[in-house]
Amino acid sequence: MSTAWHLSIAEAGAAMATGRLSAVELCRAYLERIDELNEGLGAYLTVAADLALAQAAEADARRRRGEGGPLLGIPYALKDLFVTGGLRTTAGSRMLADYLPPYDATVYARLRAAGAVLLGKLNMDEFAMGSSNEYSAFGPVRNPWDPSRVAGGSSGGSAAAVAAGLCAFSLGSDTGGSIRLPAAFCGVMGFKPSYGRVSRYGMVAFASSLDQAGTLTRGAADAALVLRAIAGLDPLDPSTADEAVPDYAGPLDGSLAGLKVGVLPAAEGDAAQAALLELAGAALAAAGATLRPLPPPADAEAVVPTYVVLVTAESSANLARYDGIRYGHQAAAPGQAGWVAQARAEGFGPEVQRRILLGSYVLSSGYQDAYYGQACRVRALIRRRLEALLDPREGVDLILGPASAGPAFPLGAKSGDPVAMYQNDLYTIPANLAGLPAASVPMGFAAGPAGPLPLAVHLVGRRWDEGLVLKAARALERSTDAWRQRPAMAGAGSSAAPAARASTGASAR
Amino acid sequence: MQVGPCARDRREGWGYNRRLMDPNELVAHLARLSALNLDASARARLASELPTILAYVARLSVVDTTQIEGEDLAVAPCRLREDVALPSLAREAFLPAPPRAQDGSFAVPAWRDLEAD
Repeated sequence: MSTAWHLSIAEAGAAMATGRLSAVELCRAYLERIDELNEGLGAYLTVAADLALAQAAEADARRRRGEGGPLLGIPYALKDLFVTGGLRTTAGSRMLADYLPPYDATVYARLRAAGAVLLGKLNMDEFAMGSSNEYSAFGPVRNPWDPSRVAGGSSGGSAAAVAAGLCAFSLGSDTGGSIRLPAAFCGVMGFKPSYGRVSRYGMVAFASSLDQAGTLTRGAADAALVLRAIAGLDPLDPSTADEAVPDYAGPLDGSLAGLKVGVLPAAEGDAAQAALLELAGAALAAAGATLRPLPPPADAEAVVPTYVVLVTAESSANLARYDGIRYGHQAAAPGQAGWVAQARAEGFGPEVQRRILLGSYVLSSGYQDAYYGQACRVRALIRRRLEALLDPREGVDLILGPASAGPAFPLGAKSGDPVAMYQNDLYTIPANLAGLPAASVPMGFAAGPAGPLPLAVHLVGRRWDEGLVLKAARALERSTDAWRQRPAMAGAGSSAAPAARASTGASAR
Repeated sequence: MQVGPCARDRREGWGYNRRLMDPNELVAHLARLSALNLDASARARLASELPTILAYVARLSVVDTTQIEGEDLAVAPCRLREDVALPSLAREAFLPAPPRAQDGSFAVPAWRDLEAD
C-alpha cells in the first residue's frame, strides 16, 4: 500500500511536479486508506471514488499540458454542508439524506479550478449544531487517537479525516468553534478566517452572522496554501469583502520581532492548560515576540449565553425553509400544516429541534428584545473589547489563549447536558462574535487511558490579518513536533512525543 | 464589562422565571410556532431541558449594555449587487433536489382533502 498519504501538500506537489508521483496514484493511496479506516471512524458520509479518480486524471492531464499550482492533484474532502452539484449533500441530517444539489458552493468551484481532487463528503453534527459530533443523523465521528472519545464538532469528520490521513486537507465551517475545537481534539490545525474572507455561497446556513468557512490541515504551511485558493470577494456572497488576498505561504517563516502577543490566563486550577500556554508563549518569545499578560476577560460569563441566543434565533429562521417540498424529507400526513410539521419532526434530530424551539422562544413577541436584542448588544460589547485589545497603536497584535477546557472527552459524557455541551466552545466563540481570524494549533498531549490525546492553544488576530495568525502558528510548530504526530491507528510515525506529553503534565479520565 | 441593573428597562421580557409558564405548555406553544409535530417523548424531554437552558441564558439580563447604540449592532457591511436580471439555473437542474417531482414540477402532498370538501 502506498504511503503517499503521509506527504504534506507542498511535498506531494513537488513529487508530482517531478514526475515521481501522479495525482491518480496519490488519489488511490487515499481511497485505500478510506476503505481501511473509515468504518471505524465514521469520518466520511459519502466517498466519491469515481469522481475523485476522474478529477485526479484531469489534474494529471493539466500537469502534462504545463499547468501547475500548489493544489493541482491534491486530494481533499468537504464537510457535508458545502453543496456539490449532483453529489449528495446531507448537512448531517435525515432531512437532507437524499438531497442532490443543483449547483456548487463557491469554495468547491475554486478548489476544482485549482485542480484539487474531491475524495468525498465528511460527517458533521446535524446542520453544524454541536461540539462533539455526536449529533449527526448518520452516527458519531470517533476520535482517531482514541475511538471511545469524541472527535469534536461540528466539523468532526473534517478533523478526524485529516488526523487519520484520509485526506490531505479538508474544509469545515466555524460558527462558534466548529473548526477549531475538533482540530484541537484530533491534533490538527484548525483555521477560521475573518468573517467575510471566504465565501459562504453554497454553505448550508446555520447562523448566518457567525458562519465562516475555513481549513483543517496538518499544519500552517498547508493552511496558507488552501486559504489562498478559497479566499476573496465572491459576487454570490454579499458578505464577502473586497480585500486583497495576499501570499500567505511566502512570509510564513519570518521573524516575529516587534510583535506584541497578549496571553490570556489558564482557567483557575488548570495546571495542564497553564503549562501549555507557557510552552506556547516561550515559543513565540523565542521567535522574537514580546509577551503581555492579559487579565481574564470581564465578559467571560456572558460569552456562551450570547452565542446560544444568537445561534438559536438565527438557526430557527434559517431552518424554516425545510418544509419537505423544495428539498428534504417529506411526510405523508394530510393537511398542509400537518405534513410540514410532521416532515420537520421526522427530519430534524433532537438537538436541532431543541435549538429551533429555543430560537422561537427568544424571537417571540414579548421576549425578542430581552433575549435576542440583548444578545446583539452584548455581542457588540465583546467585539468592542476585542477591537480595543487588538488596537494597532496601543493594543497587542495577537491574543494567545486556551483552545479547549481539556482533551477530547468520552462519547456520551456530555450528551445529557445541553448547557455543558454549549460550554465546550467558551474559548473559541469570542472570535466568531467579533468576526476575527483565529486558529487552534497542536501544542502537546495529555495522557489518556488509551494513549496520548492532543492538546492545542488558540491564536486570535486582527480582522483581515490572517497572515499574522498563520505566521505565529508556524512559529509554534517550530517549537514542538506535536503537529507532526499521527494517531496509532494511522500507522507509521504514530506515537506521540514523550517529551510533549511530559511537558503538559495533563491527564484525562 | 459592567454587571449591574440596566439603566434602560429591558428586563420586562425576562419574565420566564417570574411568570413561570408551565414547561409543557411552553413546549407545546413553541412547537406550534416552530412547525414541529413533536411526539410525547420529545415534548417531555424538551419540557425538562428548556427551563434549564433559559435560566442559563438569562445571565445576559444583568449585563449593562446602555452604552451600545444602534450603529454598534451592525455585524459587517454587506454589498448590494446591481439590480439587473442574471441567468439562473435551468428548470431541469432543480428537479433532482426535491423529495418528489412530477411532470417537470415539484410534487406536493394534497393541500386540502377534496373528498371532505
